[in-house]
Amino acid sequence: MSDDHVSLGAFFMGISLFLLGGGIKELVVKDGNTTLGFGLLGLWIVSFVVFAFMQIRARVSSDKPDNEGVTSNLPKNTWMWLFLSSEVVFFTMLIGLSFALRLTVDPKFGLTGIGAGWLGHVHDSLNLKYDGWVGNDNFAPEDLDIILTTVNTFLLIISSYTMVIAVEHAHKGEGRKASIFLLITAGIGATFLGIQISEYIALFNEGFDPSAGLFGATFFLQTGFHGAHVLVGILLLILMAIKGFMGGFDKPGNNDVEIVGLYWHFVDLVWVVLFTLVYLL
Amino acid sequence: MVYTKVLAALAVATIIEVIVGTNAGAWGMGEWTKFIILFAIAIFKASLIIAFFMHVKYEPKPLYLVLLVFGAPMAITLPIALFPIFFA
Repeated sequence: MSDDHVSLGAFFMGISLFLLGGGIKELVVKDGNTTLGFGLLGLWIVSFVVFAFMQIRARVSSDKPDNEGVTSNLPKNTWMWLFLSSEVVFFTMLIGLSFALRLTVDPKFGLTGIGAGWLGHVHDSLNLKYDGWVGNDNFAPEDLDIILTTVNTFLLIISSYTMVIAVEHAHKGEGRKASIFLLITAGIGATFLGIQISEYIALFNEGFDPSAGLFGATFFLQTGFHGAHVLVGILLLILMAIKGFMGGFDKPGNNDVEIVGLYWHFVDLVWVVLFTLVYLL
Repeated sequence: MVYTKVLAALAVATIIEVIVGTNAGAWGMGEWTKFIILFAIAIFKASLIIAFFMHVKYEPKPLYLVLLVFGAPMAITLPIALFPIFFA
């Protein structure tokens, strides 16, 4: 890959992130333009895919190995593990704080005397409306569809299994087989996301949204961020499948699929914890 | 194949989890007992995913890897996240 590809890629990535930021802003800010927000997010996905496709084509068409000129004494996948450790920090804060808030306001756990005063004080001092655990809309874990979510949990577990098979094929240099299993994994991931979106729509129609008490806020915060990770994972899987179909994994020993696999298993791991803490408790 | 066995174990654990989660109230189980049982199953499932699917079991130093990637970040952030509980 020549140097001008690198700088052009960085330029495209900058524009892509700008679109992502603009899209999220429109969706989050009060009175934001939702259509514009979703449009910008769509453009982000398109530009991300185009950018990554350019990188993949440059690499596959090059005769040099991907790690040409890179010498390192670090263990395998060091940077991916480092990235995952930052994800551990992110999700520990998100899930841990949500659960801590629940322990202090959900009457079921009997700790309400401890935290309710603290949380109420914060709300009073910030002049916020404090609706307690279920809020005025009475949105509680009992309103969630456990059967549907159990199906979703099985989908993610099975997708982790197909991912492992894809990694095995990629290690053996069977690029085409690896790509087929990557696409199956992406398809199962997309089904998961589709079910989650339909769950959101059903909840919105019943009047349950992120403003429906603390449970509503933490529920959409946790599952929403997990869903966003699944979306990124699906994009990565599709790109890896394209690379495989273009002959990118035909030589044994390529590590790309394994790295994407680590990310995908981590997303599955987070769901295992979320399913227990958010849906079953 | 080992992965098929892991998949089966994860599926069985999930079924047990859902049965306990949806019937705990009817069985007269306390919220904290239910929490401990369900969380133990979740940790079991997470360990299977980390050990086999993420190939950590086959890394040269699995214990160090788990401690560095999962243990250390959680040891630092979990106390901060659970901070609200300790305020009256």
